[in-house]
Amino acid sequence: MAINALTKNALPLAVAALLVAGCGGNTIPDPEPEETVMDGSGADSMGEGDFDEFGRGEEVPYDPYAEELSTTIFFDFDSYEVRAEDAEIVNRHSIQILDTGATVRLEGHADERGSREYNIGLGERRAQAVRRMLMIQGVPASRISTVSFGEERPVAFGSDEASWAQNRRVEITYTN
Amino acid sequence: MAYVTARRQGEGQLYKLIVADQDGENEYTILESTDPIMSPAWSPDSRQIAYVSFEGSRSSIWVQSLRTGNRTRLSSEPGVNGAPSFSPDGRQVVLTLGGADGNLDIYVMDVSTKRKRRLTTHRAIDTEGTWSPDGRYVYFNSDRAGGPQVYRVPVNGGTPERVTFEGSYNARPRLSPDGRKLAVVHNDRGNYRIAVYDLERDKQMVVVSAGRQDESPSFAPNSDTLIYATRQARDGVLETVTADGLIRQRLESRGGDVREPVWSPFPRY
Repeated sequence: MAINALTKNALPLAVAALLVAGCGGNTIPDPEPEETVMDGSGADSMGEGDFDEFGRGEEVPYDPYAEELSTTIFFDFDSYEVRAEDAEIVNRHSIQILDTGATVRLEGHADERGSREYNIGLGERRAQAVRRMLMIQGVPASRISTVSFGEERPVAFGSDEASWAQNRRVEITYTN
Repeated sequence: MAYVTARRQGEGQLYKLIVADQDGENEYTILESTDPIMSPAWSPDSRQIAYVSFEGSRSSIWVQSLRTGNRTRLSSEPGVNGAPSFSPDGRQVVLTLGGADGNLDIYVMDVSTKRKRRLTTHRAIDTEGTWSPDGRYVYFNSDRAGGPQVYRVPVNGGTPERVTFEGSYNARPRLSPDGRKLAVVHNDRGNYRIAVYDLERDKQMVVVSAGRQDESPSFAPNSDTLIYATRQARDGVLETVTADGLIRQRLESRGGDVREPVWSPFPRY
């Protein structure tokens, strides 16, 4: 879904949001850290281990008109935190929601491994991470709903890390 | 028995909730949706099935009569509504609710009044509740210790007690009708397999399946056989296995991705 309806005051707001994200967005605690498992048998699928270091060297103002705003946030293996580079995307959504009075549905997803209802819980954890980030940016809780599809609605159908990584995601859907 | 199938259709999938004989004959679709259907659970008299539906892009729990096809909505709270399971007397359902803040906990709901009470309060994921056959306990999965493990709590409330200790992942508990065995989805060196705990003999655990992504164990009324879903290429297929793991049998695939088989209880008319 293309969302380009940023108003002209969006840019300074966006930069402010980025700065807030630098201290607030990355400090959302993992609500329930998983056990460290060395044999790749974690509750979620194995990733590249490319966890982002917190904080970026410099904050470069971006051009909000340069590209279509992504509506999908991907998550690392066994992780329920928004990656540092995706905080920017979430912040741009928060501006858009506040500017337009929109409401959003956050759809959390997990990869296929493990039991189905537990994966509903893991997908909800991801949706809540995005929700908290939007709320930190000032989006009222009443404008956000969450639903977790767990592993029930994959976008990639393989049983390999490439597919699992595509399925560990939150989709931001504008509902008005 | 009952199970769910998913078949790719255009951009998405078509989901069906199907009731069939034990051998897979006489399939009868009781619900069809382009939104996911999951977690079917029989009432103890085998006349109704509870399930989770995502129609309208939100989760809700329904109870549907097999004879009339009529259904009533049991729960449609904000956030997660999941994992329904009937009490042995059929009057109550244990279910999982997440609320707006997404803290999944176990609740017990009276089916006729829809009045509910909360059984767990931990901020971890508490889900997949199921009743002990004597009606005294609710067994459930919680990751309060890090990874998913099985706990039990008295039906009238109390402190949850951890039940499983083998390995890092024991999820989706189901008790045998005689109450002597506990089946789970267990992480066996990176493979998700069905394991059976002997509750009478010091909780000895036996891994009874051999796939990579096995799930949804369900006991037969005789307590000696289980049915579960495994993978054949990319699709789910059903297998049965004896509770000691010695005799395994694959059921002929009906096509599509088959998951979440549940053995119907003995009817009590």
